[in-house]
Amino acid sequence: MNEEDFTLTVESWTTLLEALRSHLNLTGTKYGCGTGECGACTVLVDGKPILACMTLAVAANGKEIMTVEGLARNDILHPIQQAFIEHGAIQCGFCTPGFMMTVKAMLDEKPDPTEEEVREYVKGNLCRCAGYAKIAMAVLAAAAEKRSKRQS
Amino acid sequence: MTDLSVVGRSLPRIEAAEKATGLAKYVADLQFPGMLYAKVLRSPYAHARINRISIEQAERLGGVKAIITHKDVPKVRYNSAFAVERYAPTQNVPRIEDQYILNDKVRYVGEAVAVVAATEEETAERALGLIDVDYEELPPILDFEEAFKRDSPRIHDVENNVATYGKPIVFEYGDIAKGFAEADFVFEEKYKTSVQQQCPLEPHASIASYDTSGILTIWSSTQGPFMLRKLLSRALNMPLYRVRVIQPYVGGGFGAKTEMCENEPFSALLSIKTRRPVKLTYTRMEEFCATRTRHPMSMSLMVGVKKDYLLSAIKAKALVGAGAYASHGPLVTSVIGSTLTRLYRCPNVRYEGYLVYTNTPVAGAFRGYGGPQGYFALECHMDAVARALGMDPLQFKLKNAVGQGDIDRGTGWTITSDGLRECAEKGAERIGWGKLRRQTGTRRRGVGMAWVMWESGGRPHGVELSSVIVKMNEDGKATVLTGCPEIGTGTLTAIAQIVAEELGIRMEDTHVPTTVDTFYSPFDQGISATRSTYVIGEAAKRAAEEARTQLKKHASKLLSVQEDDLEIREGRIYSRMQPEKKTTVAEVARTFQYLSSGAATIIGRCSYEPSGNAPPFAVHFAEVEVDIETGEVDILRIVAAHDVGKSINPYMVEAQIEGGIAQGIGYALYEELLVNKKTGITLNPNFLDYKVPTSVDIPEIDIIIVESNDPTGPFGAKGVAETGTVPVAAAIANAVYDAIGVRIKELPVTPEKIARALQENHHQEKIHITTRTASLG
Amino acid sequence: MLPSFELLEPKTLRDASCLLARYGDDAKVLAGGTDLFVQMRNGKVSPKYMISLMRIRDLDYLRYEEKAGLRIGATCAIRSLEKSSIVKQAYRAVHEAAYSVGTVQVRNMATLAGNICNASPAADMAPPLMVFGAELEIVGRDGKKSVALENFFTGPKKTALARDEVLAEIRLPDPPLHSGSAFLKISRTGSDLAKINGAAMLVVHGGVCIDVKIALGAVASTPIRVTGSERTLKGKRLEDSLLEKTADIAVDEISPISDVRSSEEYRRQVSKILVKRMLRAALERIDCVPGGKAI
Repeated sequence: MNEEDFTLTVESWTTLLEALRSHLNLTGTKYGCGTGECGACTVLVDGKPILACMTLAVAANGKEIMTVEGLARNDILHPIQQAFIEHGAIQCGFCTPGFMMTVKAMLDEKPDPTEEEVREYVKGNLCRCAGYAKIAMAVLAAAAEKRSKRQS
Repeated sequence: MTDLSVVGRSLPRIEAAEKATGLAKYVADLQFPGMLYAKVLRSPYAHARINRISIEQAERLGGVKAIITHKDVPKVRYNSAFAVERYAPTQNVPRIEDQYILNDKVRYVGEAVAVVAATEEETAERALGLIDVDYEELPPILDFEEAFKRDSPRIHDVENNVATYGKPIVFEYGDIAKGFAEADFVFEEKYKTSVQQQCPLEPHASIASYDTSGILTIWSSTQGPFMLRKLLSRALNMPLYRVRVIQPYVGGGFGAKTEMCENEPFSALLSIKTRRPVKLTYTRMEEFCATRTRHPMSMSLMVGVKKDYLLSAIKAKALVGAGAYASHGPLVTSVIGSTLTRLYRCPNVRYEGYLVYTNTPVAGAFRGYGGPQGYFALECHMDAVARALGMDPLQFKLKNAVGQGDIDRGTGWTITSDGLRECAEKGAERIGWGKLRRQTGTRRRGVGMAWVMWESGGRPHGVELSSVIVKMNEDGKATVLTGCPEIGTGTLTAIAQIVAEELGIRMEDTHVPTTVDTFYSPFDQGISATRSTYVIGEAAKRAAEEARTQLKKHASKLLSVQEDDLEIREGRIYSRMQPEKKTTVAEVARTFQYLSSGAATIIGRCSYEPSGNAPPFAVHFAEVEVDIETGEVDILRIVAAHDVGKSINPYMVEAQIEGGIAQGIGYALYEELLVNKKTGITLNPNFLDYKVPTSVDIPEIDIIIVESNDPTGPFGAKGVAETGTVPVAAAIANAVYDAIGVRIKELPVTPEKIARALQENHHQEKIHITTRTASLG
Repeated sequence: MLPSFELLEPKTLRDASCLLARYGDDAKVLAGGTDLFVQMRNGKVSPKYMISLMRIRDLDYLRYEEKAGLRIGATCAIRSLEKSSIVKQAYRAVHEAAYSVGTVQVRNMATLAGNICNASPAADMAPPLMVFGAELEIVGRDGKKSVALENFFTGPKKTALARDEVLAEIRLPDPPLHSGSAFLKISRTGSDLAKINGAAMLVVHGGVCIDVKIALGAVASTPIRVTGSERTLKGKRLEDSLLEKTADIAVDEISPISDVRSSEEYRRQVSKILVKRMLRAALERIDCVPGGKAI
């Protein structure tokens, strides 16, 4: 979990979302719908974006999990976080953690996406506040930032 | 106006980093020692009397600490809407108090019947299954047009199920009969809108904690902590000072949270019973069926036009679906009426709005508050009228719309700033209004337009009051206290910018706490009615102004310079005439706080009621492409021109518009909350079956900001919040008409409706016209 | 919150089917969980035992062998299908359907086998697999057997699986020479179940339709092959008017209903549009199949 090892005792029916929020007090990942439609509970398991509300905690046993709390390093914000802040892509903030995890996975896989590709990739993350325009801009900016960092 | 250094810049939100790191806490993220979890038992019937509830078996379940039913609630009738507290009831728009915290008669599927608090959420859930309720089913009435008929079963004891004592809400100007007599052309049509749900990403949630000192503390995901406090104290029969509302971050509201949707009184009563904190978080299904929705409407609209193309008469009769309780209904019904009276200079207008009860989920406040409904009918109709007259709709509107200097019939005040025509002209150019569109194969393109005239707050009919305190710290930072919640609108950032600008300090030297606590924060009505920048912003500006005056007074003593010679910029205070005489804001604040004689803290405060209500204007253009074989509508582009007075933070203004448009697109094309026509069960209370637009459903949004610099708003600003949503559905429906010559008059505009209309070859542009031969002399 | 259950994690498919035999209706198979957990939260199912396939090793494969075709293991995620270049090249309609299932997150979790066993009449994956003649390998307590996908769906959410049986593998034969395929879907927003979906596979040589398979979903109690349409086209010389006629006949073979997504009337209206467009798209792709030749 965010590069730290944890041992938890859970019920077989405890979801990964419940384990994160109640057992580990990592409340960044949110409950938005409980049926896998809104993406607010998106976390990375072995680098892939999945829905924590639809995953059993025990199914994540032995895997690498990353949540929004693991994005920043030593108080330095990840380029995705930085871009979201600078481009006005955060309003109520509830969908933001889920979005960032999806975006991280996308940029790891595809460092130079077009806007259309960004929108297609994140369509599993609902945002009711923003209308997506600034989110798309932030993602493209984060992609550009990451690419320039790699080159320098 | 002098150069602005902070206002007008797209600075990052003050709370963005907290949200970006997942550290921002919403109600569901809070934990307290000994906390219990609550779950609600809900009625499976749309209309039923509760004869008996047996809770003994549930009470015996290990872990269950308390259960409440209608027997346990104070017998206080109320209306759950915050807005109702702000508008004095009139004979025309009465206040309808038809709710109890829990009822012995249920009026919609999902209405709460009992609430359980237990040590674990699972236990509370299991206990629900052990509660035995004896219902006596009553005939449900599920359609508001049916409910209106004389012989329909009554949901409350009012005639024709009309919530406002059986009578319509009426607006009348001039002489409507004369207006139609003068008309050379009369156009009549019927329009219908659907039930939309706000769908904030964060469902309603609250935690109540009643302690031995007799203070009830409620953490709530609310849009109005002070209004919640008032309503709670009333409904619980508790003195106001003993109710404390704390509001952490809120994950969106859009109006659904300008209301007490029972979760706060539930958690409160359970906490009072158990003396432990009680958390109640709604599931998404409960959010859909048991909070609030947007009022559906059906309207017959009749318009009379003279041969010089000036409007002479507007007449409308609207039925508005309240759902099971009145809530914001009377006010929403009156807003629908006001949309017909404000935008166009028509001398003779008559509106009759009937708010009708049905045994369906309760309708409440949702961004636009009657505006999307009213403007859908109005702007589709004006488009149809203009075309029937052979006139460009743009020209028709330019001819008939109000402007600067006109009286705003919504308020009775003169319009003080008017960017409407600039919005229309710039937007028309940007979208290429009037240019021929390329048609390929089975796809047809069209462009549609809709205008809106809105409000900045609720004056003069409603109370508009905000208070802000600016207190200087001895390090030169200004703490700004406001009762305004941060629900995502960015108001706190705008306030910080306004204070920084007015005080003369840097943005980073302002500090606006993001949690509202009714113990410490000054009073505010909350986020609604497009009021926050216009009202709270101005309150903040004046509070900062007062603090600045105090700073200058002290600085003048310190520097031995006249007060009016002093300038404050970026935290430095200096004499204009002798610039070597200078100090800093921090120095002044510190010095005077620690004098051995004559010490003072610097506090600026303002309790502000706006003197006016400057209407923001907007004009939307939508370009669509319709597949004539499948009826599918692709929105290619939206051009949204908005007169916001002044953009305090351009990114945030754009964000409000973009978000509003996204909700408008959902309303126009996809969203409709459906109930089973026999049982009243909600058919699609989840995101699988109720479709909110995703990132691929929102097209390019091209925003044009017009700054008409209103003299009554802070730095010239007016409101923007709801204006992004109000005109969208009409603009899209008009665009579809332009593309395929078929007018869909019922929302949502679905491929099913388009395909059927195309098949029936319905030339709906030929709306009902009565042409009178008029003397041409 | 999910209702409580005991989680069992067998190491082989055989063990899984023995557990299913033992617990019968009290048990459900768990793969990705994307359908099952929704049903459990809605109160539709409440199994006492959850038999997870996810700890069975080497079950998530996607293998293509020339002549043998494509083999997809029981726990292979739909996202793997989406990203596979061989699927995109040789089984285009399958690729297009995989791309349109849910969202990236869902496709990372949902397995193709689980999607098929969920047997939704609107399943996006079913029509393209049907037009490619998919065969299912099923493992039971007493051994293995093979069932054609078309015979697998017996009703809405119902399959031919016996109580102790588990879907082990999905096989697609090598695509024929001179063939092209397409998948289409009409839905409300960008992420939605289909109002109607479908796939077509055409084999054309010398301007004549050698073989055609057309399947439609969300317009009957199961995904179906519209064999009447197929007969109209098969063996005939391709002409636009014939494609129209083929599409028209499809309307008579479906039995759509009205639901929250769409109406019976609309589904009938657009079914022929869909068939026509799928056939045209499949036709255009015939050059692209490896080893295929232009007409």
